[in-house]
Amino acid sequence: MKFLFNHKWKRISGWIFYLTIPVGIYLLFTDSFEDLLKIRVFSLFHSETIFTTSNTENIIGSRGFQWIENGILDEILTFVIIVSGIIHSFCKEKIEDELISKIRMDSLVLSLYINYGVLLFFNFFVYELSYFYVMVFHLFTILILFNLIFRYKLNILYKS
Amino acid sequence: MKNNIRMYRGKFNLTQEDLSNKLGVSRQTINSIENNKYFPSLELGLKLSRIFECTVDDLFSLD
Repeated sequence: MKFLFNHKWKRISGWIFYLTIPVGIYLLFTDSFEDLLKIRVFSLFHSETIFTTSNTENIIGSRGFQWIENGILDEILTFVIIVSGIIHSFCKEKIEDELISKIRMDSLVLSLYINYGVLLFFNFFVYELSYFYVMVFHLFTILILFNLIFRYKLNILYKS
Repeated sequence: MKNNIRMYRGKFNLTQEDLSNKLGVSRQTINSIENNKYFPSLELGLKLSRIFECTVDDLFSLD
């Protein structure tokens, strides 16, 4: 299969992927993103809020194409998790053959169905700002699901 | 689809490991093919027929 990474990246990318996910979750729930690594960044779109409550955020307008102050730790973590997750997911196996390619393809399709099934479920049962958290998790769940399903199927194959 | 890979492998005195090395696939792939859990591509089928000096029809047949 084309577009796969070299097998040597599998282990290191896996370590980075599985170690940065809990760090990201911790920082998200402790709201530590805003204060860390605050620098001026160029924003294409930036909404302005008048006040926020526990459940709602009232947006009064938006601005764009300007420099703003922003803590970039969340952006860095998102980048690291997604890049390491993609590399870990799409590294060649030690012996990469057509059966492995088929298992990879099946796992990808199954993880996509489950991922969007879960999203559709939350679409009707989680509302307002809480839905933002669903969307944040949704950025990573397809990679996590794919890895779990692919590893599980490979384990079954290697035991045969 | 049925196949006679196991029979031909015995005839040529090859282990699953030997055959997988000749084909450049994993031993588990040979095992899956023999147990009808995986149907190989045409390319792999042709490689198998070359190793066993027979036609693809001799190796694979429809149920």
